Amino acid sequence: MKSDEQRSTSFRDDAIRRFKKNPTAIFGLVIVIFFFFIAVFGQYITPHNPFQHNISNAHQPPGGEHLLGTDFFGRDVLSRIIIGARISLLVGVTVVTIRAAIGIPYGLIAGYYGGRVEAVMMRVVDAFISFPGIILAMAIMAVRGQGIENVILALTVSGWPMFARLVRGESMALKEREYVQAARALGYNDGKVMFQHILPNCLATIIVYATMGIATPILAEAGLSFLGLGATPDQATWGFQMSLERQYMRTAWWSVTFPGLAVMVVVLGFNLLGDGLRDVLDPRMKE
Amino acid sequence: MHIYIAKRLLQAIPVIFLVTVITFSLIHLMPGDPAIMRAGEDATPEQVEAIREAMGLNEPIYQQYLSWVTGLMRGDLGHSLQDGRPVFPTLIQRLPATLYLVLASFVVSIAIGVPVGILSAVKQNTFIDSFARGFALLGISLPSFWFGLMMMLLFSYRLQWLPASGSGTLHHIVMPALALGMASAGLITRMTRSAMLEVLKQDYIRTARSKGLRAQIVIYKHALKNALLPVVTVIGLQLGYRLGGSVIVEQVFAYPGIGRFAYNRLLARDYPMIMGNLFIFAMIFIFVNIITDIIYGFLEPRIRYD
Repeated sequence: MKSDEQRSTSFRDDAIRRFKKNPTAIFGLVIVIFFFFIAVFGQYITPHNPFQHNISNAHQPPGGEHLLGTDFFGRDVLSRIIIGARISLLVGVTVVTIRAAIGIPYGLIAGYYGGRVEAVMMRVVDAFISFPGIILAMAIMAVRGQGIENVILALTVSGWPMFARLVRGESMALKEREYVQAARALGYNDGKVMFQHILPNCLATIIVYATMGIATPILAEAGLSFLGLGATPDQATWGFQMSLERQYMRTAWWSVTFPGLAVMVVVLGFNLLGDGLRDVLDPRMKE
Repeated sequence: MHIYIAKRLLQAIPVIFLVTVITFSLIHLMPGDPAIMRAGEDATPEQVEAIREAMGLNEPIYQQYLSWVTGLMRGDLGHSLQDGRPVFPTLIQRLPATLYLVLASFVVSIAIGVPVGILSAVKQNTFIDSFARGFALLGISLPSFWFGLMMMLLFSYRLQWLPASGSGTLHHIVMPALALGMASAGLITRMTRSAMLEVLKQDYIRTARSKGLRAQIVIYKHALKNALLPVVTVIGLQLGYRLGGSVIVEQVFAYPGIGRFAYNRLLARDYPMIMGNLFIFAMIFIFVNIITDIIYGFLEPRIRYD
């Protein structure tokens, strides 16, 4: 039995309690923390030098000294996966941050002002969404050339409108609420109403969306690098490793299989965490 | 209904205009010189200049845009920098193969997603439900090209059941369609599940049940019909991902569609082809979404009065 005092906990305490009781969310969080750890400390924990060529050691099967085998150049696959985590996560987090920095104010303004302003702003969003994201990104890469900054630029341009759409919907719904009306009646300027009264109330949705949203650029970066339109070869991303080793797949399955598995597990981690956060932060959405 | 359709069509006009602006700006206004990228790093200034001339890059920017758009309106998307072939017919010629692949992937993802989603909702909070939800999440998290390669490893190299590349027979389409459709199968599973759960709670379902109708009839005749609405919308929105994903999947399976062709032209920096490809894909997306909106309007009359 709970006393009244315990029951009236803050939203945050409540959310943390729900999070702890959500095994999928915890599982997702563990995966995400694990990969962040690898991304930060990867270069100190690789069992072998991930860039050291040793042709005599080419395509060693998994097991023994090389847990996940070696690639065509005799490089340790596990070490290369560890070193590849950094760019993958860097792209995921940076792209989502910039997308949010553009999309959130954009959506807030469109939803808040409504009418003609909104109509024009949302047609721009519609136009961006009409392009398949990956093709837009590929075209930008073709103009700008390989490199991680260009990947980040390409994926930001192709993906920011989804944030704008999401926040605009929230902003439109929230502006009719009494507390927003009250803030306006008190004469607060529009900026203050939008960022101090509406934005905090969309945060739950934004956090959930952003968490899951990290998965998308990670997948896209892997795809771009696989096609040779992503990071430069010396950046050794998972997608690039797969594109190099693909031609030897028939005889050496491991050097393609394991980097792809790494992509899948990271993406799964962010999806699980996002799902869990949605259950926690937005109890209404839970069946 | 006519007004609704007309409104929907009118809305598309500014979007199409903006699509042309974005397509054009991408190549011409992005920092970076398309002529140098095309010519390569060790090209002579004369070669770069020749490309500038061929692309019309020496004209003022608005002039370039205007001539591109006026061509567009006559169905002329310009000519390839690579081999001089006209862009529009060259691309359109390769479109059917890709549409076939995309269609096959939709069949796959609906055939998997809808039944699994229904089962998951009907057996909510059971082992089956957890399994279905896990499956959906896994599907969403799969990199399509990697999944394709893994299937190739198993079904082509080990078991030798399916051809690893090419096109022509039903056998050729199985793995590309699965690779392209798996992510959406996961998404459709989730959509169907939550829509089904929503519908099963409604009064009319309870009424149907209390009339003594058998559970199967309630689920398939009454609930499913209404639960499919959101799925229709997802399919429209998913089309963009599919067309994009087809580029990678076609590359993996050496499938001769527009995606693989466009990819090769992308590597060669054949800009008129790249722009043409972007424009055609965007137009298909806009067109299909108008159609799905209209279907939606038929299925759900309330939406027409928005």
